[in-house]
Amino acid sequence: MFIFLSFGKDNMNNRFIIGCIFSMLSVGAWAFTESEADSIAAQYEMQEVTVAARVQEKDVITPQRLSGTALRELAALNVADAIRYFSGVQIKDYGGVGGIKTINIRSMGSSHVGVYYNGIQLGNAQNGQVDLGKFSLDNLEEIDLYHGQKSDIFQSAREFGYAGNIYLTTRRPHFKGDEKFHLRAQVRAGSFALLNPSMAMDVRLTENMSASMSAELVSSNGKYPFRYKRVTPSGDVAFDTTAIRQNGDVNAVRVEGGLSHYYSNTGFWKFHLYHYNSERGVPGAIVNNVWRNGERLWDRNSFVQASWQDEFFSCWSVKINAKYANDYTHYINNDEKLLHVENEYLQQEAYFTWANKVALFPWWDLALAYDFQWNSLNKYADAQRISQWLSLATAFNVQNYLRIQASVLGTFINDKAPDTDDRFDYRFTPAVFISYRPTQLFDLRLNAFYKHSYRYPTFNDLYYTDMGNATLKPELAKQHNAGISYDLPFTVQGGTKHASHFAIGVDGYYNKVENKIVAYPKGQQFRWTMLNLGMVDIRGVDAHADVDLALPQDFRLATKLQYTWQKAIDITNPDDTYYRHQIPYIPWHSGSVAVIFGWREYALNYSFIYVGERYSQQENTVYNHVQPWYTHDLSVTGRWQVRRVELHACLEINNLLGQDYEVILNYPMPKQNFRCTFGIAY
Amino acid sequence: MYFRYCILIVFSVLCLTACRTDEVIYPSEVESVAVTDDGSAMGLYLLNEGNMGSNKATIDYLSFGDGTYTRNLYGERNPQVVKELGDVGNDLQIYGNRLYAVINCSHKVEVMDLHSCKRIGQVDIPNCRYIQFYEDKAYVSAYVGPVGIDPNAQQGAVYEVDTATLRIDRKVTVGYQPEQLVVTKDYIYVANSGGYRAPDYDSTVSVINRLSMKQVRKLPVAINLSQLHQDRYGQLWVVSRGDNGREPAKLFVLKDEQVIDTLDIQCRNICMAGDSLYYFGMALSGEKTYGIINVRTHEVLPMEWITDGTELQVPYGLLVNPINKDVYVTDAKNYVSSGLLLCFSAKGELRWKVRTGDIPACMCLVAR
Repeated sequence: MFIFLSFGKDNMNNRFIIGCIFSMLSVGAWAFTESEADSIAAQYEMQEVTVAARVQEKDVITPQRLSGTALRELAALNVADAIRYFSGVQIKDYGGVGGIKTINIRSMGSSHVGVYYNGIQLGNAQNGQVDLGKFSLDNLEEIDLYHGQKSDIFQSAREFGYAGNIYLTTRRPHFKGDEKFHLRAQVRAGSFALLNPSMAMDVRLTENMSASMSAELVSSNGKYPFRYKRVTPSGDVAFDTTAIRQNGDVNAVRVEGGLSHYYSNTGFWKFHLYHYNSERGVPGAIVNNVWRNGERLWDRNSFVQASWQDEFFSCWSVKINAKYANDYTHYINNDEKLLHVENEYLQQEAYFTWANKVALFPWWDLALAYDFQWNSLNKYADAQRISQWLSLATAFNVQNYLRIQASVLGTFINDKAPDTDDRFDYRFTPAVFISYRPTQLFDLRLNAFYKHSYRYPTFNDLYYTDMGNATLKPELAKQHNAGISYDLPFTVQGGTKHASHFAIGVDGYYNKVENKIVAYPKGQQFRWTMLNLGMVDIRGVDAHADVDLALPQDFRLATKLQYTWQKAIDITNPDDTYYRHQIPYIPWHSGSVAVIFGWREYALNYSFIYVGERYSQQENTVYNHVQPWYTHDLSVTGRWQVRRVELHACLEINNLLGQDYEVILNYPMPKQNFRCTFGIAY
Repeated sequence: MYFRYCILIVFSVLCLTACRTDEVIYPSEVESVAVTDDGSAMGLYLLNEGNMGSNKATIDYLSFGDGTYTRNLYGERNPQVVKELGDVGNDLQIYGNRLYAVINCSHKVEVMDLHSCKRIGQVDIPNCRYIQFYEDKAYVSAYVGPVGIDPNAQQGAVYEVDTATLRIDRKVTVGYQPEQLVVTKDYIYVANSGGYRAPDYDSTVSVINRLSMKQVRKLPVAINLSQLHQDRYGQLWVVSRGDNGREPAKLFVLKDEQVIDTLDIQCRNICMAGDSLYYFGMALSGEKTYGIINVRTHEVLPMEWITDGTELQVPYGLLVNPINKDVYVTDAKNYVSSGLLLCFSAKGELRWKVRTGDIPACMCLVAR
C-alpha cells in the first residue's frame, strides 16, 4: 500500500522513493534467463576442458535457468526449493526435509513434466511422479526449465513428448592449467537435527579424460513445531495448538560417479553411476485426534547411464544414450490404529536413444531420433511396457531475425499385464516454435508456440487392484503460448564494463487438457476407477524481470522477480457443482522476489515467495478454501581464498517471520528454521 | 524507466494480494428447504464423511419446524475443538438425549448433546466403524483388534462402552474388518467384511454373548458382509457386497442363526421401517433400483420408492421416516464434492432436495 500512497508527492520525493524501492528490489547476481557471461560469476567459474557442442547464439525457446554462483548463493537445499523461483510452476510440498515435493508446470499436472538428469529422463512408470526433494543441489551445476521443449533440436525423441521439461546438470570437472585433482567437502547442519555432509572429487586422468565422484548423506529427525490457530467470526481465539511433527525423519545416502572423455573437438563419451538409498517416515495428514502416523518408506534408486556424441563431415551430429535403472520401494504401515500393510515394488527401466542432426545449410538443421524403452513393475503388481518414440524435427534461422523450430513425434506404447489384454497405442504429436527479432539494434524478441503432448496412463492408472482401468486413453495437453522479451546489457558508471544487465519478459498462454485421467466412482460396490473424464481450461500469464547491476567498488546487486497468474478451470460437465471452478491447488496469483546484494565474495540474499489463495478440492466453497502463504528467507554467504584452497560458509534463516502455513491441506510446513554450511574446496 | 514501473506494479500486486488473515473456523451455512412439518419428527441429523485425510467430516441439521437446513453445525457449536469433528465420519446414532458420531480415521466416537450438538466427550476407539446401544451400553465395531501372530491377518473387535462414563468396559475379537452390528438382550451380531483382504474376504456373522463379551459362534453367510439389520420378527437381514463386479451383491435372511433365504438383489444399502425393508441397488450393468421388501413374506413389492424418474448419481445413505414413510436418500456424486440430500414421499415423488457436505452418508431422525 505504501508504494501507491507515496506517488502523489513532489518529484524529488517520488524519485527518491522509487529509487529506494528499485534498489531494494534489484540485488542478486545469478543468470536467471540467458544472461551474458556474468563477469562476477566468471571469477569462480573455471574453464571446461573442451567445449564440444557449438554454442548456439540464442535459443528459439528461452529457458528459465539457474546456474553457477546463483545456484550456490541461493538458499535452497534441494531442486524443489530452487524451482520455486521459476515462473509458471506450482510445487506440491508435504513439508520437511523428507516430505515429497513434486512439480506441476502451468497447471497441466505433474505427469506432463519430464525431468532429466544429465540429459536422460528420470522415470517412474508406476505413478509418473518424480520427487524433486530427493535431488540435492550440492552436486548440480545447472537447472533449466523449458516450457514446451528444449531449444536445441538435437535431442532424444522422448524429450519432444512432454509439455514442459526440467534439466538437471551435474557439476562438470573443471581444470585450469596443469591441475590434476580437485576435492570439495562440505557440511551443512540446521534445525530439525539436519545433518548433511557431502564431498566430491574430480581427477584428471589424461589431458582430456576425467573422473568424478561425489557422495552425500542427509539426515533429519523432521521434528518441527507447527501451530494451528483458529478464531471465531467475532475474533476470539477458538483454539490455538502447537505440536511437534512426528514420523517425519529421513536418512538418505547418495553416491555418484562419472567418467568423461572429450577425445576430439567434436566428440566425447560419458559414463555416470547414481545410487540413492533412503529410509523415511511418512508424516501423514494432521486431522482431529491424530497427531502422528506410522507409515515408513524405504527407497532405493540406482541407475547407470552412458552417452556418446560426435560430429562427422562437419554437418552430421550423432548422439547415443543408454540407461538402466533399478528402483525398489518398500512400504510398511506400522500404525497400531490401522491395519498392518506391507508392500514392495520393484521397477526396472532400460533405455536407449539414437539422435541425429544434419546441418543442411548453416541456417537449416534437420534432426531425427529414435528411442526405445522397457519398463517393468514387479512384486506387488506385475506389468511391463515397451515404449518407442520416433521424432523428426527441423530448425530454421533466417538471418538471425526469425527462428523456427518444428517437430513431430510418434509414440508407440505396448503394455503387458497378467489378466488383461495386451495394449497397444500410438499417437502423433506436433509442435511449432517461432521466435522473431524485429531488429538487430536491440534485443527484443517475440515468440510463440503451439504444442500437443500426451501423458500416458501409468501402471497404477491401468492396473492398480480393482481401481485401474486397462481401457484408458492417454491424456492430451494442448498448449498455445505467445510472449515478448527484452534484454539489455549496460554499464553502470564505475562498475565493471558491460556486466550490468536488464531483462524482462511476459508470456501469455492458453492450455487445454483433454481426456484427463481422474479417479471416479464407478458406481459399482462403492469402488473407484480411473476414467478419461475431465477437461481443464488453463489461461495464464507468466512475467519476469531480472536486473543485475555491477556497481562501483566491487558491489553488485541483482534482482529476480517473477509473477504468475493462472485461471485453470474444470470444464468437464456443466451439471457438476464445480463447473468452471478453479482446479485444486492452483493459485490465481503466485510470485517470488529474490535479491542478492554482494560485495566481492560476500553476498546477502533475500527471497520472498508468495502463493495466493486456492482451493483444496474441486468445489470452490468456503470449506475448501486455503489461505495464501508467503515466506521470507534470508541468507549470508562468504568465500575466502587461502592459496589454492577455497573456503565457503553460509548461514540461512528460512521462513523468517515463522508463518504457519500449509501447501497441502493438513500437512503443516515448518516455521522459522536455520541452516549453516561450511565447505572447503581444493 | 518504464520497466521500473512494471516492477513496481508487479510488486504492488503481490503486496496487495498477499494479505493472509487469521484463519476463521469453518462457519455454518443456513439454507431454507420447503419441508412440510407434519409433526412426525423434529429434525434430521446428517453426517458427511469427507474424504480421507481432508478432515472434513461434518454434521448438518434439518429442522422440520422452520425448514432450515444448517451445514456444518458441529464446527459452529464447538469452536474450541481442535481440528473440528475429524476425518471420515462413518456412523451416526441417537441414544437417549445424545448424538453419537463414529469418526473412523480420527479413531473416536464423538458424543454430543442431541439438541444443541455441543460436545460432551469422546471415546477413543481405533478404526471404529459402527455403533449400537443396549441398556446404557454402546457397542462399537472396529477394524483393528489385537495384533495376532500374523500381522497381515489382523482381526477386528467389538468394544463395549459405558455411556455414563464414556469409558471402554470390555472388548472382544471378532472376524476381519467388522461392519454393522445388531445388539439384542443376549447376543451381539456383527457382520465381518474382510474388505481389506480381497479376494480372501471374510464371510461370517460373529455371534457374541453380550453378558460375557465372548464370541460364541461364527455363522457362515457369504463374502464381504456389511449392512446388518434386525426386523420385528427376529430375522437378521444382511447384505453381502460381493466382489467388485466379479460376484454380485446379495441379500441374506437369517433366523435362529440359520440362513433361511437368499434374495438375488444387488443391494447396496438397506433401511428397516416396520414390515418394510427399503433398499437401493445397482446391477452390474449400472442400472439402479429403489425397492421395498416385505420382511414377513420376503417378497419385493411391485412399486419402487422413486416413481417420478429422479436420477441419482451415486445413492449412498438411506433413511425412512417410520411414521409418514418419507424416504431420505443421499447422493454422494463423485465423492470429492458436495452431495445432495433428497426426500421422496411415500408415493415416490421428490419432495425437496438440498446440498450437503462431502459424501453425505448417515442420517438420524430426532423424535418429537
